[in-house]
Formats: sequence, C-alpha cells, structure tokens
Amino acid sequence: MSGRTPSPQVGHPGRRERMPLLVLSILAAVLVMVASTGRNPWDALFVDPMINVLLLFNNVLLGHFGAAIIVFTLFMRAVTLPLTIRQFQSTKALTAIQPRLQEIQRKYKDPRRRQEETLKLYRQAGVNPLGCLLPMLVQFPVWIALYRALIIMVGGTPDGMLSLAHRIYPWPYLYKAVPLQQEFLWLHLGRPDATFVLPILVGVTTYIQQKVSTAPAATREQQQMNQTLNWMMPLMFVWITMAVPSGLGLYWVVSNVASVFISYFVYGARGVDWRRVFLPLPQPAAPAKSKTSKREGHDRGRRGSDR
Amino acid sequence: MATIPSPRTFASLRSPLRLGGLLALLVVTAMMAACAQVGSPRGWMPPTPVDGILLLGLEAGKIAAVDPQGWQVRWRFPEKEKDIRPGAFYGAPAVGDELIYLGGYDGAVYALELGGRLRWRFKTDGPVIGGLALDARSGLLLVPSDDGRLYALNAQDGTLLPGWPFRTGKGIWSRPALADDTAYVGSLDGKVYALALPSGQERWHLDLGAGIVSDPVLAGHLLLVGGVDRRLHAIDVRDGRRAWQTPFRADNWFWAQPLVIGDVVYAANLDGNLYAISLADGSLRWRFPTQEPVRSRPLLAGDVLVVADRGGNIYGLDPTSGQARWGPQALGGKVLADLLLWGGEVLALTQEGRLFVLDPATGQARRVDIGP
Repeated sequence: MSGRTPSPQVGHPGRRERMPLLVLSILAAVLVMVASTGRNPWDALFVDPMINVLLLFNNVLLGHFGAAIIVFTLFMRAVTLPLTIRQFQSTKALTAIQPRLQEIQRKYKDPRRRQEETLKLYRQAGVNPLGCLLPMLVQFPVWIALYRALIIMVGGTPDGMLSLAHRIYPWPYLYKAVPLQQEFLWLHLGRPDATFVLPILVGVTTYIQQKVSTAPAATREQQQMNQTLNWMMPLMFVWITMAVPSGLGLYWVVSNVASVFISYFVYGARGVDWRRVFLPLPQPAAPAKSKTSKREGHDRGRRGSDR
Repeated sequence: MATIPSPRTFASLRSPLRLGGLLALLVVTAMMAACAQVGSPRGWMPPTPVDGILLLGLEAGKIAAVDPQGWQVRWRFPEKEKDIRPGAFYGAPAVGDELIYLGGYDGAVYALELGGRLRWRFKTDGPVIGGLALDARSGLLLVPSDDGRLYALNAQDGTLLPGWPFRTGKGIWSRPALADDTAYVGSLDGKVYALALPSGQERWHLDLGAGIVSDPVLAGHLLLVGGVDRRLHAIDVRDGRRAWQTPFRADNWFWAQPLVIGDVVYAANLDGNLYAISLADGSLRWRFPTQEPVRSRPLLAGDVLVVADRGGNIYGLDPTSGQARWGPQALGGKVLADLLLWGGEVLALTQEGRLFVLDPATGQARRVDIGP
C-alpha cells in the first residue's frame, strides 16, 4: 500500500477486493438461471423489468405515457444517482488539479517525464482519472436497456405490440396500459417530431449538459477533442432525434436536464462555470496568469478541505 | 483504495478525455443500433381471393393482385398514384360485387374497382388496422380505426352515414363481426359493443377489462373474443352477458381470430400454443405447443387442422385429438398473416413477401415465384 495515497472514496481493502468477485458470481448465477429458461438474459434482466415499471408508471399517471416517460427517466436518474455523483466528483477533482496539470504540460518537454509528473500529481491529489469513466461504464447497460425499452413501447404499431406481448408480466393491472397513449403535449410519442422543436431541445440540452459536466482540457489536443465532441454530440443527437420516435427524444431532454441539475448540486452554485457553457473554451497551454493563480488558490483550498 | 492506473495502462489510454470521446461514440453507436430497430409498420393483410385473383401484401403498403394461373401480377395498388402512401395493410379487405375495400395504416379506406383503379377514398383520424366489414344487404361498410371510432360508410361512394361514427374509449384494432342487423366490435378500451345497423345505436356493451385485439367470431348466439388479458371470452349476444362462467385462460394474448368447428373452438395464442376449447363451457380439450407464438388464425383443410407460428413453422394436426400429422414444415420466414385455403391447398404468405403453397395432406410446401 505504500506509495499510494488513500482516497476519500476508499472502503475496506479486503471487502473492496472481494466485492467485484461477489457481484460477478451473482451476475453469472442469475445469467445461467435466466438462460436456462430459454429467454434472452439481456431482455429478461434489463429491458423487460424497465418496460413493466414504465407500464406501472403509466397506469399510476392515469395513462399519460409521456408523463410516465418523464417520471421514469427521473426515477432512473435517481437510481443511478450514486454513480452519477461519483462520476461528477471525479470530474470535479480533475478540474481542481487542471492548473497544475497545465503547469506540468508547460514545464516538462520530455513526454516520459511529463507522464511521470502527471501520475505523481494524480497520486498526490488522490485522483483517479478513470474515476469519471467507470461509473459511466456501469450506467451504459442501463441506458441502452432503457433505449431499447422505449423503442419497443413507443412504436405504437401492431408489430411493436406483438413484441411487447412477451414482455409484460402476468399482472392484470399492467394489461390495462396496453395500448399506450401516444399523444403528449404537441408530440406523437411513436413518431419523430415534425415541428423540430424536440430535436432542437435535445441538441441544446445535450450541449449544456456536456459543457457543465466535462472536465477542462489539460492540453491543446484534449481541448480540440473536447470542442469537437461538444459540437458533434449535440448535432448527432439532433439528427437521431429527427429520425426516432419522440418518446426517445423526450427521454433525452429530461435526462439531460436532470444531469445539469445534478451537476449544479454536486459542484455547487459557484462550481458550475456558466461562462464555459456559452463562451469558447480557454486556451489550456497559456491560461491567463491572474485567473490561474486565483483558481489555484481556490483549488488548493478545496483540496485542503477534501482531505 | 483508489486504483491508480499503471503508466503502461495510462499510456495506452493516452488521456481520459480521449477514452471519454471513444465511450461517447460508443453510446451513439449503441443508440443508433437500437434505433435501427424502430421499424416502420409492415402489415399482415391475409391473402384474399377476389373474383379469381388473389390480393397479396407482398411488400409494405402495397397490394398485388396476382393471377394464380401462372402467378403473374395483374395490377398493383398503389402504383402510379404518388399522393397515396398507405404505409401498411394489416386487416382483411372487404370484397363487394364491384369494389374491393382496403384499410391503410395511413388512416384511409381505399375503394378499388376490380381492375385496381381507385374509385374513392375516405380518411379517418388514425391508422386503419382492423379488417373492414361489408354488410352487403344494406350496402354499408364498417371501418374500425385506431382513432377509437367505428365508421359506417356508404359502400358505393364512401360517404359517412348519419349517426356515425361510433366512438369507443380507445383504438379499434379488430374487425367487426356482423350478424343480422347487428355489428359486434371489440375495442382496445376493453369493451365489446353491439351496435344496431344501420343506425349505429348501441344495444349493449360488455367491459372485459383489457384491450381486445383479436377479431371476434360468432358461433350461434355466442361471440368469441380474446385480448391482452390473456383470456378467451364467450359472450351471449342476446343479452351481452358472459356465457362461460370462467373465461379460458392462456399465458399470453389472444390475437388470432378463433376458429369454430362444431362444438370446438380452436384458439391460437401468443404463448405458442393452439388450444382446442369446448364451445359449451370453455374447458380445455387439448393443446398443441408450437415452436413460436401464433398470430395467424388456424384453418381446417379437409380433415387437417393447419396452424402457422410466427417463425414460419407450419403444422398439420388431427382436429379431434390435437396429434401432429405432419410438421413442423419450416418456411424460412415470419408468418403473421392468416392462412388461406385455395383450391384445396393452403397458401401462406410470409412477412418477407414470399408465398408458399402447401398440400394439407402431407405438409409438402413449395414456394411460388410471382411474376412481374
């Protein structure tokens, strides 16, 4: 353990080491059980439960499927909140050491030395650069399953209904939800939004969500990638929203807005730099001196309090 | 303990942001893959004989009139009409002496002359999914729509009759059944309605509690109807009350129209079973498990009961015992459309637009190449 700085998120080492094995064992056992029934484990474990919870919400909300999508999205964000917060905290920690990372970039020309110093800094600050990615990875199956569930449900076609028939649990209360009401506000949830309002909303919220939750770049290369992603992703989402059922677009808007709110509460009101949202990204290699020093002081203070 | 990646690991990742970008692209790819499965409606209109030709839905939103002598296409609809985009055809067409009536997923009813020329069309506010019913005696065409209304049109000119449409609580996906001066229709609102013809006055309705998707069928004074509540119900049409004390229960939805022969109801279910049920009391006589769910209606060809599952497996059964006589005969395509008995042979149309002709005695199937 020597040479490694304990992180505030650290649990008991033995328990922590055993946990993934335990989770994997349980997962494997469940997969074997489901596979033995002849069902697709992915659908049985992820997609079908989501469909049934959505149907439940739909009935509780008096058959308003659009409202059910909104509540369900918020519910799923709440379920994955610990992971999201962890992801944001890692991003926050990375943000805090950005000035020092930039300093390393400027100071050391030798890539090997630069990498060593970077790692050293990570160790000193107790930052795991993958910490913001692993929670995201864990959430991927949830997101993909949710997309699949929504796609099955919002189609509204008889073909879609046939697919739904095998996924509804044998509980008469759920049967009443079928067929789902497709109209919500100005949208037909089973069709793309012809008014283009929803695609634009998806694009704008994706852009804002990315800007508030992405760590600033330490190098020009990273910054270029950030800039590309910040534009590419919203545009791709706009394009996709124009082609898919509006129910999915509704999910993306609500999910993005929820994400921005979570960022606000994790980073705090002063932590979200709204200028970064609406203004071009600052140049990482040559930050303004006064601003850097101010921020460094602020970051040091925060690091101190973290410890 | 925070896990700090080794320099080698870190070098391969180059930067977390790069990895983030990669993951973001992965998400988009995954979403696009998922979204690619958002299919447009395909339709499952059953093969329908009209004046010596067959109407076939060989591709989504298009009908081909095929001459079975040589299997050549005589005409298609729509063909040149650029403003007509039915999207898909699901329900069975209605066929009159002079006109053929088709319900499109675009919400329109199309009346075609026997040569395929459009005579008139009528637009509803929702897709037409259920089959159309023609009351030849009164010249009235009943059109169920997903907008929740049942329309009654003058079959000659497509005008809406006074007193119509009849409004239900949700969409109507099943074909109305006609008997004497009454139409029986099931709605996705879970109710079965009996309507006087031609006035459209409601005689009675019965709430079955969950959406009805199968076409109701009449057997004497019993109306048999199934739905998403996984039950097959028998209703006495004289008073609109349940005829069976306990509806027959299966493990999934009844979407196929039941077939009644004598005192037995043959009802296919999406749970992958064909059930033989006593018409008198709804008790089970036998069940035959298929490899996949069954959406299409079984049919009796001679003394063989023929049933097709969604996976395109066809079975020939003894209608009395439920024992397989032959099958499964795999067609290599999805079968959702009802089968058709044509000249002593069974026609099966797959969702991919392939037509098969089966000998019901042996189960031998051959694919028909349809000419241009």
